[in-house]
Amino acid sequence: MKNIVTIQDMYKSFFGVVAMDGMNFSINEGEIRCLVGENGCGKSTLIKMISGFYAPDEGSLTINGTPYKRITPAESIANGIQVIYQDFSLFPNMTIAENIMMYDTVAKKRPFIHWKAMRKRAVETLERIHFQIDPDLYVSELNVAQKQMVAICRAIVQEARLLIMDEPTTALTTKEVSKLFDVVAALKAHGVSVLFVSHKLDEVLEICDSITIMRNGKNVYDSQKGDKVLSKEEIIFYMTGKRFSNATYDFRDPGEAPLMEVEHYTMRGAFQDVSFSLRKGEILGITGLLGCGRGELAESLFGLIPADSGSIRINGREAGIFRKVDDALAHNIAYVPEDRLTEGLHLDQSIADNAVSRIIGRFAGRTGLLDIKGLSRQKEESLSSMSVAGMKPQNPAKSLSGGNQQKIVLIKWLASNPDILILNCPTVGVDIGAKNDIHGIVRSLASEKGVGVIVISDDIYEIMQLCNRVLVMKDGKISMETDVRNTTMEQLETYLASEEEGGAAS
Amino acid sequence: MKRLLKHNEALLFLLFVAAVLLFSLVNPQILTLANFYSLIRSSAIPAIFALSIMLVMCCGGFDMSFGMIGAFSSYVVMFYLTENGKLDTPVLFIFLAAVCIAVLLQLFNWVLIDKLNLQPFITTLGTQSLLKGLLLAFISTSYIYVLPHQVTKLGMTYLHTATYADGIEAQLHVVVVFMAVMYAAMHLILQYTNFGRQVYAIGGDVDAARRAGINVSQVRFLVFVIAGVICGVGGVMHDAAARCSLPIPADLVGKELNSIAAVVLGMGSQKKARGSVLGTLLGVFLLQFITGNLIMLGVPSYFQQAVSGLFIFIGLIVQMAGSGRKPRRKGGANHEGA
Repeated sequence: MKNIVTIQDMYKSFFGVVAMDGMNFSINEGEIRCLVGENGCGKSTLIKMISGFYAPDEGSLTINGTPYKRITPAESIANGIQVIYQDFSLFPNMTIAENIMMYDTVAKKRPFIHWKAMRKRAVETLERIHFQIDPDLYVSELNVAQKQMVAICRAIVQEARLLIMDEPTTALTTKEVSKLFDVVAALKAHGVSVLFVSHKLDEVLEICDSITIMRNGKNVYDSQKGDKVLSKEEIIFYMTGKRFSNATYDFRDPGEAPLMEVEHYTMRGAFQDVSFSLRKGEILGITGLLGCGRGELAESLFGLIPADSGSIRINGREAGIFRKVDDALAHNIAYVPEDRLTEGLHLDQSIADNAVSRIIGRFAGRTGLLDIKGLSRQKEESLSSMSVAGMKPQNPAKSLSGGNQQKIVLIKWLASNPDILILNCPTVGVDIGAKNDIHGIVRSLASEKGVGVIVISDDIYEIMQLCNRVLVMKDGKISMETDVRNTTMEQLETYLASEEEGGAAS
Repeated sequence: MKRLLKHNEALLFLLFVAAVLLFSLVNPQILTLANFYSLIRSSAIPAIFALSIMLVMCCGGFDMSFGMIGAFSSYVVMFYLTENGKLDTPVLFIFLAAVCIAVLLQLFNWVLIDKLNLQPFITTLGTQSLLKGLLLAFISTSYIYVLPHQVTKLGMTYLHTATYADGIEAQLHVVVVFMAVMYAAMHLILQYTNFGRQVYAIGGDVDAARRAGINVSQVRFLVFVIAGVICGVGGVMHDAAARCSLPIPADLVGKELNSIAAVVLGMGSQKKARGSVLGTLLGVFLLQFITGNLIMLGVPSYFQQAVSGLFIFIGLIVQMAGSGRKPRRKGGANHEGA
């Protein structure tokens, strides 16, 4: 088995900050290796070393048996190394066929374009990975999974020998992920190596032959093909250097009337006849496959999209259907959206301003002018309620990492002392350390302040860690409800998987 | 051919036909050859300039200075020749001189936008204002009515003459040949050359273009050079057709947004969002046809502008409907999961 890329004792620092601290890495022909590690551990630096965008300070890089002091992007491509970035780098204003052939067109430097030959090769490539789609569609019309397939085709046209995929499954449904894995397996059969860079441990375990775990700029664990598969807990341990407790949330029912009762909530085409209740201090998980209606349910509970029928009772009093966000706010409900970048934060505004944006109205006097002193006291108070590493209050919110941004979203909502907190996929794209922090905050909110929390998530691990009760949705209906103590992760996963099988058969 | 029909050029053409039929109900003269010739005459110069801004927009840029650059380059040449009594200069030389000036001015834009990374819209608005001021302050403010002989001759070269029912003549002006050649050349460049692919790629996503190994700066350089060539030729043709040269011709400077409207109409729906040569031509013709014929019907000019505005809306709405774009729903459950 030949090595495609070997890296030995590599060091790299940027302006005194060490990004790569004695990294060793190798990948063989036809191997599927996964690279995992927390945000900022040096994964992307490693990719950029291999693809030629960064030069190492020290260490050796050997590609296809040739040692390089540093490699240029063009040499890297000539060696068959192709990176598929998270954003795919496709051209939205071109068709699928044009996109697939674009790199080839640029690389070959022929002055004129032969449309027929170009289209023919694009179609052949699509067929090679059994991807059936009209090659004349514009890329801007495609969904994420289709775009990814186009990006893969483009890499194959370039005779890729090593395909590096950065977070390839983040926005894919379970079905799309398994399709992607089929394609990867087919590539492997043709001798192409694949390096997966991923946060999602379940998938890592499923697809890889081998794994490299990075922490603080170096590899802390490497396995080879055929080695024993690590458990998820062990991977997390290597990634973070910490062991996290697996204790579930211990909910004690105060015995009062339910905080929120949802009855026969229905939105055509999204969910039907959803009924559940939420008690004080309870953390209720809602999960299900993509398209089961959980996202729409979360949004309708906050009045973002109104339901068609049903009703909500808050503290035993009828509240009807929430038709707009103000209805939900009036009942002291807080909502942390799924997409914090576009819905949760004002990215260009300062962290401090974001932290008080929910309650800024309280500081406006009768004249409409703001009480600046009171507001800055509130900013300090809000921001000191949680530890956010490396944060400067006057910096824009976009300067924070994903996990810390999510903390600011929480701070913003907690300032209003909500009775009910709805979290829609609260830890997507957040690394394990910050995820654990967020879970801790949510748990203490529920147990100490008696906030009722609803967590919508597709991350079973998160549901098991965080919640005391879980609802599973299927085709817009609640198909299962259980106390987490009466189930296990495996049981829930098997239940969801069987559901998908059933769905595919019908 | 199938590719073309599937897309917005076809819709735009249908809209154009619909406008022609609508107007012909009121004025049967519209369906005459003579009226067609006068439409071409009024559209050719705006069409040439629209081609320049279209290329820049295909590359993801913007230009508010193309009209001024065309007017400036031609006026400076005409002014020099008439002041020095060189009225016998061959027209080819005049074109070359104007093109050189226009290319240099567009490269000035290139330096500001590509090298200094300035915002294109404001930058080129600055170029426009700068040229206007320099021209009036240092060169001349007067109209030039006696142009070099060959330019005057070019301005009166007609390929064919047709007559309206009332005996008024309309000629097919030679400018149509220039327009046709430039449009054909641009179509070939954008559609069938590697350079054309790279222009569209940069217009689609600059970062992705860099990752594809495209030398963005170099491609933009060529784009501005070609835009300059078009402006230079357009400037001289404008003066030839108008039979005089003005420092700030009102039909070029201040009307840039009309050309941009034509390009955007030609681009069509959001999903494609890439400039097309045929689309731009149809866009220019549609807008010129509407204003020209409202004049013929004796509609007051304020009303003409309102109708042009309405047609721009209609064009955009028809194309959006044609592309089957779904309205965005609040909430965004479509990108859920992850």
